Amino acid sequence: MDDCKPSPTFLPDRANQYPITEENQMATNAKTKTAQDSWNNNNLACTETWGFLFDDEELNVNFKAARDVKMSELAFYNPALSSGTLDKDAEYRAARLDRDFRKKSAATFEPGWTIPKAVQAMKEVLMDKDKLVCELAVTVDEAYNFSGEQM
Amino acid sequence: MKNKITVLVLALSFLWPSHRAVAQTNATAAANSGPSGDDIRQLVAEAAALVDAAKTNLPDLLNEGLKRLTVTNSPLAWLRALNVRFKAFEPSAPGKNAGLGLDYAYDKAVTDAQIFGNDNPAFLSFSVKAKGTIAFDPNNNPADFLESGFQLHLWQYFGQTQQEKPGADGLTRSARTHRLLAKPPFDAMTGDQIRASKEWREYHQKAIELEPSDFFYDLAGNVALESNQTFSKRQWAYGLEFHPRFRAWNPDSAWSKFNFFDWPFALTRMIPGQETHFKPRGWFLPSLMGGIDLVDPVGNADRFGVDPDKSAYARVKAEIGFRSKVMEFEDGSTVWFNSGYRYFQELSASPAIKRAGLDQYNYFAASLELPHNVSITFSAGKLPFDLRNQRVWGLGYKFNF
Repeated sequence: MDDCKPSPTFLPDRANQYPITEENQMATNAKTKTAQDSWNNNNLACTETWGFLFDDEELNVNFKAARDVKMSELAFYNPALSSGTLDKDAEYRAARLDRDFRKKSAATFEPGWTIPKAVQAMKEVLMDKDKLVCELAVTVDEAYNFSGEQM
Repeated sequence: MKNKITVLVLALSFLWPSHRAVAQTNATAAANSGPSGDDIRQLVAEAAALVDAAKTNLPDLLNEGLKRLTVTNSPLAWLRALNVRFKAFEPSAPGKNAGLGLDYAYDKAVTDAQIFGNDNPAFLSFSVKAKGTIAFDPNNNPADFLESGFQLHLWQYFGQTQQEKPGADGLTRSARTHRLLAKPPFDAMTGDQIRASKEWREYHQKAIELEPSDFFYDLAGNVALESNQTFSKRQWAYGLEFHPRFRAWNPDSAWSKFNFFDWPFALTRMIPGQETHFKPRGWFLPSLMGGIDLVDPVGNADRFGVDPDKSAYARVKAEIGFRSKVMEFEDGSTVWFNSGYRYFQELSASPAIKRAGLDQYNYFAASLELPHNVSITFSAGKLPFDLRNQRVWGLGYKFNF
């Protein structure tokens, strides 16, 4: 009766998409795949990205399932807004994440990164409706150095 | 030998800037006075050290260069700021087919400078912007309004300023809690089960005490070319926009309780039974924009047909947007309500412009996002350059290719 099973793409429970299915993997580009592979619970960039989005109810799924949540599925992403106003919502969201990482996680910037650069880089990911939370975590990992990181 | 060493040292000094000055000084000294045996041995030793250092640091240098490529004004970074999404439009008239088109948005900040503020610094940023909707059939574009221009904007975020300190394990309270909750058994729980855990509730209560609310603003000065997609109508707009964002994180605060925008959805969220009491969210407060423009109508035949006066006029504009969770099911699937309203009003418009209805524009869009990629959308009103009011209902289904 396998034919009666719905395609994994249409399962609402994102936890069932972890690990990613062959079909999803084919549809995912290499950069996204790398981001998905780097999503792990020993990487503070990943756990803090998920944690702060979860705290603010931007998403309401566990760490595993959060990996494949799209930006358009986050609570801030209102597609009825003009792109200019949505852009400011993304900028606010990025500025809040920046403050969270630096004050609540005691993260410091990697060399060459500053507040505006990090906020701009996160905003660019947040504005892309098809980007995944794991891809946001990759940008976070590039910009911030979290104390107590273990791999 | 001397020449070889000089070339080697100069080549390495080029590769490794921090040693450049020292290496060049030594090489120049050797060339001027004639090297002794000790000088040559010292130069060889320095060169060997430089080779070792270069070998060790080159990957880091390359990685650093690569990182800069991705965060500064390289062509890649400029392209990364472009967001394009294809969309389908329903037929604009009987007998016409549904149309295809795309939304695009481009926003690239090219300079940033801290202007004032220590705990909550304010930054000035210069951005190049473009946004709009393009239909492959220009006559079937329900939002035929493109905006391209430059923006100088000042933004500031007011949030938690207290620095949390790492404990003996090197982790702050948030890092420790998030890591714990990212591991078994929590990584197999639903979001609501995690929220109900003692670990998250204790952590979150403390977090709310430290930061019960936050505030963000962006004040932007714009120069923009507004047009329809064929540029047959176009005008320049110079103006100011103010975007405030306030969010209350304490669910017991007045901002949360009296967020009447969220009241209907606080009720609908109780239907699946996961929320047992009426709980409007202070973090689902609306997004706002207010602004004023000076508009120079350089090419607007419809307007000039009504009023031949080609002088610039002032226009106020506003936008409010609201998104809230309608309900959430146990499997994590969510129903979202999205809405946005845009308003443009010309100040001191001539009677002819008022009679033609060209002084005021309203546009409302709303959608209900259902599980399984189904959405119901509605839009009504007109944007600048639209000559008639339109009401458009849509039923959408998203495919992931």
